[in-house]
Parts: sequence; C-alpha cells; structure tokens
Amino acid sequence: MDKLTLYVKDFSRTPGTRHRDEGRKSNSGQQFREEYLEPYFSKVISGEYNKLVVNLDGTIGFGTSWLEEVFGGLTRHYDTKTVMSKIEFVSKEEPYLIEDIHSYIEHAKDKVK
Amino acid sequence: MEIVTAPIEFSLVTNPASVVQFINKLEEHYLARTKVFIDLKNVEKLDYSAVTILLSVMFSFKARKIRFNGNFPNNKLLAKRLIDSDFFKYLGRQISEKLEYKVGKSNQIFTMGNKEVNSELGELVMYEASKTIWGHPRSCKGLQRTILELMQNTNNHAAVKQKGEEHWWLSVNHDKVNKKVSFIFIDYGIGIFESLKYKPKTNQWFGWLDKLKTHLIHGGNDEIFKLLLNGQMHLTVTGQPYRGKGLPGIKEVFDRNQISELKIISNNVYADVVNGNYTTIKSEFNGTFVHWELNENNVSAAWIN
Repeated sequence: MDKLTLYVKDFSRTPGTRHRDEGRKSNSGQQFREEYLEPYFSKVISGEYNKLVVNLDGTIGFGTSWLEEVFGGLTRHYDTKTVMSKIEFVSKEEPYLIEDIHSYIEHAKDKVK
Repeated sequence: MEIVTAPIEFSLVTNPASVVQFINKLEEHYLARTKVFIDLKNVEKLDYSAVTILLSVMFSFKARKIRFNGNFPNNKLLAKRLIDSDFFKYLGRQISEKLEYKVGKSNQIFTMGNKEVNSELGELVMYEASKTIWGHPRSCKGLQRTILELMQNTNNHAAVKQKGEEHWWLSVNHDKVNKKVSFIFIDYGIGIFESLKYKPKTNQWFGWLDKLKTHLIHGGNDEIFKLLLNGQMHLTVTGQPYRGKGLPGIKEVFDRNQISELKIISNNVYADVVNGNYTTIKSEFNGTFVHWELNENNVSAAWIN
C-alpha cells in the first residue's frame, strides 16, 4: 500500500490561529484539521493507504496554537499511538517543528480546552 | 480640555516608567471620557514605540467620540517622524469604531490595529521587510511566528471575559539606510500577570504561583517573567516540557536568531531579553508591549513561491 501525502501549503501559505472564530483571515488549525487532515487520515485508518505524510514546507511559518490544534486535536479524536504510528512529517525548512509536533501529540490528552 | 504632557524622552524602550505613567494618565481620561490635548512640543526623543502609542490612543479616543488633539514637537526631525506616520492626518478626522485600522505605507511606517488574528498580514509584512533588508523578498519564518503568537495572545488573553475584545497594534518601521526593520506590538489588555490570575480551576495553570514558590528566590514579577520566558515555569507548573507557545515561543525565535533586539513590557516587568535584564518598573502597564527587529544577521531563507 502507498503513502498518502498532504501538503499544508495546499490549504494556505499562511496557516494561522487555533480556532475559526479567531479571525476572518485566520486560516485556522481547526479548519485545516476538519477539512483536510481528518478526511486524509480516515483514508489511512480505513486501510486505503498505510501512512499519511504531512509536508509542512512551503508556508511562511507556523504559530504553535495552529500546530497543537491540528495534531493535538487529531489525537484527541483518536489516540496517541494511532496518530504517532500512522503519520510521518516532512519539514526541511523548519526541522524543529517535528519534535514540537510529536510533543503536542504525546500531551494532547492533557490539554484542557 | 486637559493638557497631558508627553515625556521628554518619549520611548517605552528606553524610558518605560515615565511612558507608562503617561499612558496611564491617558487611560484615566479615556475611561472618564474627558477630552485631552497632548503636548509634544518639548519632546526630545520620540521613537516608533511612541508613534505607535500616539496612533493607537488617538484611534481609541476618537472611536469613542472623545475629543483628542495635540501639537507638533519643536524638534523638526521628530515632527517629521510623526507626520510620516500619518498621526496628524487622522488627528483632524472623525473615526468610527472599527474592527481594523490601517495607517501609513507598507514599505515605510505602517501601523495596523485589529481585534482578530490575521495570518495573511505576516506575508505582506515579511515581503516588504525582507526587501528593505536584503533587497529582495526572503522567507523569515520566525517573524511570522512572532506576529501570530502576539495576535493570538491578544485575541485569547487580553480580556478577562471573552476572546477578541481588545485591539492589538502592530507598527512596522523600515530603516532603509541601515537595512533593518523594527517592529512594535502593543495591546492595552490586562497583561500577562493579570491574565494568569484568572485561570479557571480546570486550567493546568490554575494555582501556578503555589507550584512555583519553591523555585523562586525573591518571588518578584521580574523573576517570574524570566522563568516564564525561558520555559522553566511551564515545566514546573504543568509538568510538561515547554513547546513554544505565546511569549516564550517568541523568546525561542529570538534564541534561534530569527529576530533581534527583543524587549517586552507586561504589567510591571520590563524584559530586556537581549541583555538578559529583567526589572520591575514603578508604574503598572495594563497590557503588553513587545519590540523586536529584523536585520541582515537574522536567519532567513529563499522566498516561498
């Protein structure tokens, strides 16, 4: 089975805040998770693909709340083990993001909204 | 009309105590809805933090239909700086309450106020700033993170009751001769320490001071702020390693050399991050002020096409 790749830049060059209600030009993590990541991830969960590769390159940068909402939020819908085992990350432009994202996934359940 | 005299050294960066007193005086008039006249004639120093304060205060007064006026500094260079910022252009105009205000030119002095997070603003700011510094557009991801974290902080935490109540103000100032761009971000919210007081019991930051007590020497806000910016406070209070959110995330951006000249004021703390000096100031600033700079020594990459 193949890997499925999701490019964040296809969502926006300027990913922004955590929630949709934080701005009309917020390009929120909530929107990306609901409209892009979860549909893609469900194709992996269903067995159509064996891994999801999320490519973070090609944007002008990320806020931490966007990253936490996307990957921590996905983990709160599933679980840490499933998300960690089914997603790979590519971030040549900002390699430090991958360690941060892993931490958001590991501690997703600790976050109180 | 009450005359409020601006500090002779009108800079939150170099003279925070007097400027905070000046802001607090204006806030009293704003809350009392009394008209004011800002006397600037004897000002001998007026930097971009002062310009941002004057613009943001002017818009706040006028949006509330409170009369606001002022005079020119006698110093011609300082007067020109204020004229270039469009302060006097708007001084004689009526201004209504708006979500967003834009003043100036994007490649000279540009000031914007908004209550929302606008992630697309960063691209315009980065494009113009990098052209001033490197002569062509460069990608400066730390700049975008800094702007996003600050906008999000104001949107989420500047008011006690609900999100999006307070305006943030961002001023971008291009120094084409020295190839650097300086940034001022300010909000008149409740500030970091006040925000921490209002954490609900369900929040992992509830009771933070008790958890931190054994790690403090004198327990002043300056000491606490240093622990906060370095991520040590997060680890102690939450038990989790710190992962870059909010103001500490901006300190990480600074540590990665993605921005320079980082200085922060919140409530009664002045953090000169560049020199590692954290001090308390006499007057309490109700809000958060951040200054930083982008120059050719900062990390950048090829522009994203």
